[in-house]
Amino acid sequence: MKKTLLAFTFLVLFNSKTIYASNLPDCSESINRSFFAFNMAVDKYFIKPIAEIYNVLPVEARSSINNALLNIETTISVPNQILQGNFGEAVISISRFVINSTIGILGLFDPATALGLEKTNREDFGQTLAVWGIDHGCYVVAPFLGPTSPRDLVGRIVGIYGDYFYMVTTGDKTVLGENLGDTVYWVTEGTDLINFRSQNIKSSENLEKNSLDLYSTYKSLYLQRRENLIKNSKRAENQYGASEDDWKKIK
Amino acid sequence: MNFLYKKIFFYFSFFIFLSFKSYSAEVNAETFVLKLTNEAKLIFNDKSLNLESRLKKLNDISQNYLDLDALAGYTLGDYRDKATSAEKDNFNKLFREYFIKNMSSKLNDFADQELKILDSKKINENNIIVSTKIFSKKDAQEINVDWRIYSKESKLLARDLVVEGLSLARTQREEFASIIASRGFAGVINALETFNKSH
Repeated sequence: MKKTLLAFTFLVLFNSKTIYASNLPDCSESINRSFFAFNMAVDKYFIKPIAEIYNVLPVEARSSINNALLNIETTISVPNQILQGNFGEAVISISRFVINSTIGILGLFDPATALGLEKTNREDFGQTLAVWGIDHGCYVVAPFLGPTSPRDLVGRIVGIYGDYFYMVTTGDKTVLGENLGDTVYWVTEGTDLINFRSQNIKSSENLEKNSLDLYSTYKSLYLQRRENLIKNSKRAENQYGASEDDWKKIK
Repeated sequence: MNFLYKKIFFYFSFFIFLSFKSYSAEVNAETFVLKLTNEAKLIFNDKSLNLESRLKKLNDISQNYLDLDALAGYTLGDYRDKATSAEKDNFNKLFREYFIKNMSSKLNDFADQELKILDSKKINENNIIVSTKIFSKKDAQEINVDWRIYSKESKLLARDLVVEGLSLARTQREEFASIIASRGFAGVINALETFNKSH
């Protein structure tokens, strides 16, 4: 038990290296680039148009939907916060979930923040594997799913079995004696995708217009985002340490 | 009673002293970011400017506020040590034009948004991070933007923008690295020339 705890602590403390996109090999760049082009076409003809229509909704409605989706995401975050040893965060997440699901009417409103319970870090099983010391492996672009890596793909697949929301919808568990059914799960996942896309229309258009190699730009952004999520970086607190060596060479 | 007033005054003064001591190094950087963004906003909100005049004015701002040669050097990554000085000069010139055109397009969408300084922190001898939040009323969005400010001999220059944890400099560097890996340094020069001609 002591050995396990020691190994776990070691992994948590020392797994903080920066992986630059140029250092992470593609599993197969030609296949990745083909899937990237395919995903961009799916986005252009299906996802982006729906996201643009979604953006017609009043700001208040979109904000409430966003709150509800973040509230549901807690069911993935809590088991992973525990697996990563962030017990304090797990307690806050559970408290936020209980308050927002009840007083906040199924998470549409966020009274927990008003009560002083700030949002916790979003966690998934891919992040947990990273905290346990498992590297990305290589870079993959999966059809429909987008940029990922073998580690994050495994995390995504295995992670759903620890997701309470998945279990009470697509799985066989119940909430208040009821299983919510597959439809609730897939509608929620679809709304989550459109909600995310609707928040990034301007920035993705800018990238398309100004990037010299859009594929590598997305690869870099994906890796930076995952790195920040794994380190739970909040602003300038601990985000800049790893990149300083490169800047120091520039006079 | 007099003693009590003196005691309160002492603690109050001590607190004020500590506050100034903690933040004095970064106040200049915060003012610098505010001045830079205000000047940029004036340009984007001036509808009488045509594209050419706007780019010219942005170029003037970049001379005073941005360390573009340093940014160009950073984005070259490992190739920086291999490139000849002629290659570097040509790259810096093309990069400057690319950057200004790129920023002109990127920042245009943010011209109507409000910026609030959150805090600032000196992370090492020459680098200060100024953390800001940009508010968009129209989209009900808040974007966290950190500014990497380089300080040398009391002069301040911006080197990078980190938007929601994503560094523009690092993204650019990795984009160039990918092009260098597949098409060599000539590929980067070619991509920059093509972009600059078409925008």
